[in-house]
Amino acid sequence: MLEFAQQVMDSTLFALSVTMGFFLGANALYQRSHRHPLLHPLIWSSTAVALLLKGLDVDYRQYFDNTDVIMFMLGPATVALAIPLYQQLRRIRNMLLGTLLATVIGASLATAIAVGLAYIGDANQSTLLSLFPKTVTTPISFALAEQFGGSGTVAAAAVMVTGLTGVIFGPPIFKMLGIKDERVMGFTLGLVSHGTGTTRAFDISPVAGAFASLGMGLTGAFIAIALPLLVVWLY
Amino acid sequence: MWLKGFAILLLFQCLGELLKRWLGILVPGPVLGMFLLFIFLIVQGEISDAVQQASTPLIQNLSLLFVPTTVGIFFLGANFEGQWAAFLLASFVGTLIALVLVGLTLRAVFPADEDDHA
Repeated sequence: MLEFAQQVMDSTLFALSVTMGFFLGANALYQRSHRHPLLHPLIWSSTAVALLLKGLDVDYRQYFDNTDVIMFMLGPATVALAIPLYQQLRRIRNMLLGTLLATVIGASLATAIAVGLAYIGDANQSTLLSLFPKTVTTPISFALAEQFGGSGTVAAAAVMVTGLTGVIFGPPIFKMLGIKDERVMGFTLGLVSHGTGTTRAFDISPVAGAFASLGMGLTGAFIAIALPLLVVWLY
Repeated sequence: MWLKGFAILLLFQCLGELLKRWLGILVPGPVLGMFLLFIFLIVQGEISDAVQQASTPLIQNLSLLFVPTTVGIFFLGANFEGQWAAFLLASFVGTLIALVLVGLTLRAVFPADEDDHA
């Protein structure tokens, strides 16, 4: 009986059921709370799965290997990000140059600040490489961090903290600075805090949301091209 | 229909991986696949129903795909000890500073509000 229980816990079926089950539960809670950022399903489903694995004494590596179907879907999901990018770009054809300039300056600033602070905080090389892409959406930052030899897990965590910080502190900061232009608020939220910031921008107004989607998409594209060049040059 | 769209996404991922090998760069294959699909959409001038149908559920449930990775935070272990200060400094404090500086910069460089941008 014990052996059977062990077999179940080490199975793909167990890993997938637990992951999807907790995610659906956490997501239902999130939707009920009208998408409160602190109830983001990724935070609570991951915590619940981790607690369960620890409680049942399941090896994380074993669990992770069993979820490779989910990991496989990351590839096509990343490719699919071309669709929102295309939809947003079509809207603003006539102010393309200004937004591209804003993206290059803003994304470089946000990345330099993060890496600079991590460096001051005595981060080791693996952590540093995982923090470089923290300002872009998780599929891109995860892929970049792993590619550089950093940790996809640390990258995903950094992206999450970055998203939540932007969602919670973005609007009060804009108020403090006297920024009232909805386009600037949206673009900043999307650029700095990617998809999570974008959902918050849609709460401000549809204009802010559209510009956040655009800021997120352009930043992802710029970082994906520029960062590998920078990392090769640095190391 | 859905299946056809999914096959198209996989095809672009394959093309991305090929391009990555060919160029010998550090940009991940799926990200290059995203660019290739993006260029394809511009050339095509529209998004086909098949691609739309396959992409929507993937993008809507993107968070689910990161659960297995994120669970790893609880299992980082000894390797990550001593890294938390740097991690929080960059992720939390760095984001606050970035919001201020990027917000101010964008206000300065953003094109004037002249046309129907919404």
